[in-house]
Amino acid sequence: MSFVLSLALATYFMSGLLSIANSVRKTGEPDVAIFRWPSLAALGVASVANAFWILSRWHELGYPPFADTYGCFVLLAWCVGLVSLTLELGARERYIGGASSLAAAVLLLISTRWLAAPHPLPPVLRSVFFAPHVVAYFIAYGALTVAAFAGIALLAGKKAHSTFSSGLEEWCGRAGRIAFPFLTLGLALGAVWGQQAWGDWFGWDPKEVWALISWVLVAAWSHLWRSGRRGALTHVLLIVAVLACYFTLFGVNYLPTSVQSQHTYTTR
Amino acid sequence: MSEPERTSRLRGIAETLGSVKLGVGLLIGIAAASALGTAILQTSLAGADPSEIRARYGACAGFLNTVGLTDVFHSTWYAVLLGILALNIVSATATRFAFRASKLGMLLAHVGVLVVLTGGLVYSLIGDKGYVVLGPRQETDRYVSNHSGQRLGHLPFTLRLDDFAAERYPARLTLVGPQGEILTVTPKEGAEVTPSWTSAAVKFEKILPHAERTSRVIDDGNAPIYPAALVRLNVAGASRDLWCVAQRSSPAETLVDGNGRISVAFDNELTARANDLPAEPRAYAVSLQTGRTVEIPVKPGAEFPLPNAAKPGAWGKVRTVVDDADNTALGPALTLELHEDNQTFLRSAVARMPGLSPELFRGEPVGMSDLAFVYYRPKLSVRVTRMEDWIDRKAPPRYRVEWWTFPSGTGGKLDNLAVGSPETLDATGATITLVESLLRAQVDAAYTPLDRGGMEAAKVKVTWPDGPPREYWLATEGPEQMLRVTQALAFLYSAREEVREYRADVRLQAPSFDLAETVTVNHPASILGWQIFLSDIREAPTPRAQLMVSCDPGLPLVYAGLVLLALGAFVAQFRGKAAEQKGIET
Repeated sequence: MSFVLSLALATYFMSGLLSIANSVRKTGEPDVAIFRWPSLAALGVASVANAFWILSRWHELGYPPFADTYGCFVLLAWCVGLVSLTLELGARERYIGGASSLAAAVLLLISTRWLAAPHPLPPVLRSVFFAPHVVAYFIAYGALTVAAFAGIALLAGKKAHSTFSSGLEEWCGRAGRIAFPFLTLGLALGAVWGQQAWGDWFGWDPKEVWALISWVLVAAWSHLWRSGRRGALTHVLLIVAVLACYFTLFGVNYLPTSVQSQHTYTTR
Repeated sequence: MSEPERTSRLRGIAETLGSVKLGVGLLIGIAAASALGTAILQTSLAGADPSEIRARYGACAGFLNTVGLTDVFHSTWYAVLLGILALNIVSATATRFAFRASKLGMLLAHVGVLVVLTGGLVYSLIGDKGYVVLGPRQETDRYVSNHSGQRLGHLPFTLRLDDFAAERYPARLTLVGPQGEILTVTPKEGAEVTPSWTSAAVKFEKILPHAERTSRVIDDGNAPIYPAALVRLNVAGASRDLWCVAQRSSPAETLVDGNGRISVAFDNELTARANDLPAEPRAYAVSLQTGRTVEIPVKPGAEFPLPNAAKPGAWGKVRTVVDDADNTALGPALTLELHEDNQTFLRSAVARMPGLSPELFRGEPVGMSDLAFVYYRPKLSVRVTRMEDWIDRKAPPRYRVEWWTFPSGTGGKLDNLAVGSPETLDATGATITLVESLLRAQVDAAYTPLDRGGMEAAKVKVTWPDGPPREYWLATEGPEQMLRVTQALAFLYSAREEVREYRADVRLQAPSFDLAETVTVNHPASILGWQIFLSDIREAPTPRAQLMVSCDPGLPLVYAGLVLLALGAFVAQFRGKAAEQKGIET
């Protein structure tokens, strides 16, 4: 792993630990300053280093570095960290930010599993839609990952202090509000791109169907959330929706119908 | 019933129909149905094969078919679900979002979904899509429609294919560092590169576009196969020269055993397949639409039915059989007479001995539109690939064995196979054993180990329950073959020549116009409400391009709907805070 990515990995990890250390205090008590500010600073450094790596690799390759699983994981780590940083600034609760930073570190760590010499872009990926489509989707996936952590915490801590719960709900709702528009944008860009490349804005291809399933489930969750239904079933739906997103990204190739799919360019 | 009563009654129905509960239930139902449509093999997708569906689901296949689970996305019940969802959105929009500025985002998003669905409906009612397959300088005004069983459609113009080509990337050399750092360059003679992670400087002393890949790298002009680069490595004042030889993609080497029944060839990944061919030549006609297969008797004058569901009563006759088509790459050939709709077509089918591409002929859009002829289809195909990226000479290499059988269509994959242990190929009764593996072998009448250069090869033994074991040599390669030079540097020289772009020059002609257009993968041509896309190019054995044609009057609606939907989602996000605190349904 390059120095820049190692720096990002270390600072994500540090930020996560500091955030969690900061969380171990009575609900409602103010932040522990020696944890709070270094944690935010570390997350900031990690985001910049992570972004720097993506841009420099982009420059090096001459095309967006998202065509292989390695690049996708690094982008996903950056999106998780960035969403966490954005939400952390106005939030009252620190566990979710900590968990998100740790998740970004884990994503960077496992990205190296797919480290390989890059292949040049196949014809279909040489499109103006490639970078916007992928980035919109990954911002959404990053935000949904953060929302899912809050959802899991809400499920686990049902009888927790109400201030704690409302802090978690705040994370969940704000992350969801970032996720849905970007997920929609990614889906729409994908449709326009598919029309340009294959003459089908939606061709019922397994990857496309799973993108639709993910969007439909997130939309369903968003409707429940916005209409004030925030019970255990809503949180379960969110977790299922996020799993569907990850399945769209990494799992579709293992389906029996995947031999019929045109979207096999992210695997090698 | 009084007027206000009726109004309130209607409003009540609309509110129930447009409730969040119903909407969420429908969304979850659609998600679940769609998931089923990806978990079960679908007949409507490209490459679908009903015989494979039958083989996979056995007795359940009929049931799955009846309830529409083998074509979920074109079933009535799926359309009904979408229809109810549309009603739900209309009711919700009318009762909750219309005329309320604070709900502008939601209004836009919901109207967007309706507009997209309308666009899809317009397409399914009056639009059409399909494909044509053309060779150079061929033209047509008909296409094979994707709608209703691959019938032929008419284009309002003549589509002529002037020329087409696959443009490729040049061979690239990738320098790889110990932490996965990479620097990819196209080698040029005299150029020097300095990777950022090492003090070494790499200079390209000499480039041979066509060098033979043996223990000696020479440019004798006789066997132009592999590009090679002589690289000078300067580390701390000392320099060292080494040859980097590119991996090549073309199936250049073929090995056929004495009686011509076993063949080994190298495909794009430089792996190989051994084909266990039946002793007698056999040919089949396969319907691309239904997957139904009939065997063609390999003797002159024999008649056979064509498995063409759209054209019942079609039949074929073998005209001539040629034992050897007089080319090392070609096997026996048949000429066939095909009768369909009182028309006669002549086709020939040539068996390619390596068996890499058993599909010999795919019908043209006119006439025999949905038939493929398969000749000499192997009983069992095996492919062996080394699993590790790097060769560690201390540990024995592990291989992946992939296999397919015919006619049942079953197949599978065995991972981490090492030399020595027999493994059973599920459901076939056959066992496979890796007998021997060589990291450096020379392609010859027999594989022999070499000190440097050459191919990696494995010897495979296949044992059937009812016959003597057979052994095959297969060439294998890892996912990437790297040449490790120092602790800090490895080379990967790929001559796979990945396709950069497909390009087709087409001419669109009608009495009122004559247009020349260039179509590439992400850039279709448009005329008279039709779009022409380039979906595939086949350079060998017969050059052909597949072009998709599409007439979708719903497309402007779809685009407008997508814009509304995405815009609405963003507006709702920024205005959503207040709404979220209050809740939509009060």
